[in-house]
Amino acid sequence: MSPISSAADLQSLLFRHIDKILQVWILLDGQDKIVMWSKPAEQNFGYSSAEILGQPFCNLLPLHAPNRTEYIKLLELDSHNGSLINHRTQVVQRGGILMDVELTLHVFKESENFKLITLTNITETAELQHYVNNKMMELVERFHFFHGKDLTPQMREIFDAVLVAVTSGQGLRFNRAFLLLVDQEDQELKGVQAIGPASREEAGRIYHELSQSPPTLTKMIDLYKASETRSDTWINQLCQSIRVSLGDPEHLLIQTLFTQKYQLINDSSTMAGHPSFNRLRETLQVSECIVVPLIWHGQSVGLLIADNAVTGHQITDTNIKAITEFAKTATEVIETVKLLSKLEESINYIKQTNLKIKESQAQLMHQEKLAAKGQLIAQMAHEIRGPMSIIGGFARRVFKRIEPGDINYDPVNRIVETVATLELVLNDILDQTPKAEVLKNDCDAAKTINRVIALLEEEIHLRRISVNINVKGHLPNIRIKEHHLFEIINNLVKNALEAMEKDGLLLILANELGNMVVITIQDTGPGIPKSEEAKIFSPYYTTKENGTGLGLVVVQKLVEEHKGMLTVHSLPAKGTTFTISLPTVNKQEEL
Amino acid sequence: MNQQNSRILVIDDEENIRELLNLEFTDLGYQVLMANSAFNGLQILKDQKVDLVILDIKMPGMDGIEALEKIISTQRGLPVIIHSAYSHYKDNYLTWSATSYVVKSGDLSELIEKAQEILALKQEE
Repeated sequence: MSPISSAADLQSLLFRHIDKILQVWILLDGQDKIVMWSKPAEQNFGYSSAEILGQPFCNLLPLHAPNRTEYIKLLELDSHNGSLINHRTQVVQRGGILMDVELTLHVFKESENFKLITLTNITETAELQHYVNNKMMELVERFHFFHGKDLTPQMREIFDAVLVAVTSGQGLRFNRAFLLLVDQEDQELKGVQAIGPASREEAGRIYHELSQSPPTLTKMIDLYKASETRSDTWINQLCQSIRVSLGDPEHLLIQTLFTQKYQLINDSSTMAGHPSFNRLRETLQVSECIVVPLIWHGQSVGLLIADNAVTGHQITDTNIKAITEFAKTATEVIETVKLLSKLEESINYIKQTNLKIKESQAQLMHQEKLAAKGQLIAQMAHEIRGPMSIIGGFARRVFKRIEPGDINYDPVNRIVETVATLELVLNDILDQTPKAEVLKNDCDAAKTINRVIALLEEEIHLRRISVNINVKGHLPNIRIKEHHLFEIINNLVKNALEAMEKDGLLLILANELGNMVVITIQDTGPGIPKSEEAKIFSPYYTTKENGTGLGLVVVQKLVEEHKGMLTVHSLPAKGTTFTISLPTVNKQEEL
Repeated sequence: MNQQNSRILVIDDEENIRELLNLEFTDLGYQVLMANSAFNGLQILKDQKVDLVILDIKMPGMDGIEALEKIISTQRGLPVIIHSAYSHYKDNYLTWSATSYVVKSGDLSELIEKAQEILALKQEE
């Protein structure tokens, strides 16, 4: 063979190999008539060159195609700088069989508008995508109508569909397929589901059945489903045994996730010899497999592993191209299912919350009704108690005056006893009716002090009295009802204010001492003479013009009732100090 | 002063109660004065000497709690028994300054006992 030297030699070299590069290609003239095409084109369409040359390109388009005769012209309009890439369409083979293709068009404007068309047959991929998408739609519909149902079986089904597509005879033709997904929560890559014959015998059975009639995708899926009961468990167990931490960047599978590029695992692989490489081959018991990352919006969400463990066929470039292409569809479907399942969770959560709200609403309404009823009953019972006491009172009065032998003795006795019974019934009702509000013995002293001062602000201002409140740290709550503590402090502060001339100073201290809170209220009034000190707690003692002399009595009674202490200390012309100590709420009691 | 001559003022808007207590306490030898409202009761207290007041709470116009406050500020030391169909006023500290609290009942024995007790103590003073 002469050495390649001239440009013509190089051109002829290139042209000799053009079929290997472009596969199915067709050259059209300015009138869109076929002037040349490749051997692969001939094989794909089934026409001989003699039959096709000179024919318009539209003869290769289906009869029902819209704008059939103008098709190439329209594509030209869509092209940029004379090129249109990966346009999806359908063409028709000699026998009338439709073929899904990706069409690329190059227009040579400077050369009489000649055009080069290349076609890639994507029928299989299109069918698979169609199948998986249909499954998806089915799932979405089912999800839509039965959104109360657990999604897991549907998820399994959709994963199955993806895996079947990889393995079926009409699909990507791998023997087995494994699906692994990234679990973000556990930071792990986990084997989820697998499909394929469990053994050579199983594979033989399936292939024998398939050889009886041309396999269709549906038939294939049905076959796998039928064998599921036998093979599914083992292969799924194998798949689920694969678990790799995302924090292991040396691991072959994790590397595939990070690089987002497929890895062909065989003896000539660059990774050969790596521990995880050997481990994977051992686990799957194969010498060759392909690992394809599933990429969703730039993020690796899982892996698809496929092998030919049964037939031992070598994985070809066509196989690789097909599976990497299919991985995109698979990812979309898987992620959609995951989203749906999350949606399902959210819907369930909202449903449950809704139910709880409804329940508590009903409960609240029930309680409100009960409370309203209770109030009505209490009111009625009280209204009845008055007249009942009149009937009973007079009846007893009469009864006392009747001798046991009198004809009226027994009837009046009956009235007395019946009224007594009725009164007991009323007492029962009144004891059981819910009280308007049950207040807790739990009160924040600092808050109450401030509330009292705020309410007396006008008087404090009028008397030009300075108030100094000093609460030491965070006080524990006192075991007393708030309105009772309010009454105590209100009375003492009022007394202090009234005792003072203008420009007086009111000092309120509060601090914790042991398990008590001590509140001191000190004024700069005239003080109480020693002789009077003992009397101030007796009822009706007052120095005020309009006083009832009951303020301090009430204070003392309240303090005593709450197991507290009240002391007074007075210095004539200096002022008076009242000290109240009340027990704090026991922490354990609170619990 | 003989306890039997003690004067009891019954303040109640319900005529039947006034009449019943009048009959019962009169039988026991007490002198019974009656008022059909708090206002009328306070008028009687201004003019006449009374040893014990039996006071209803729920009355139209001035109620028993307000009347109690007025009685205490004008007639220091005068015992008052609150006599009400309602027991929950016991929780109101304003009623605490009363000497006693008796819930109305067809059985008057509790009211009579309390009245006798208070009047006996008063006589000792």
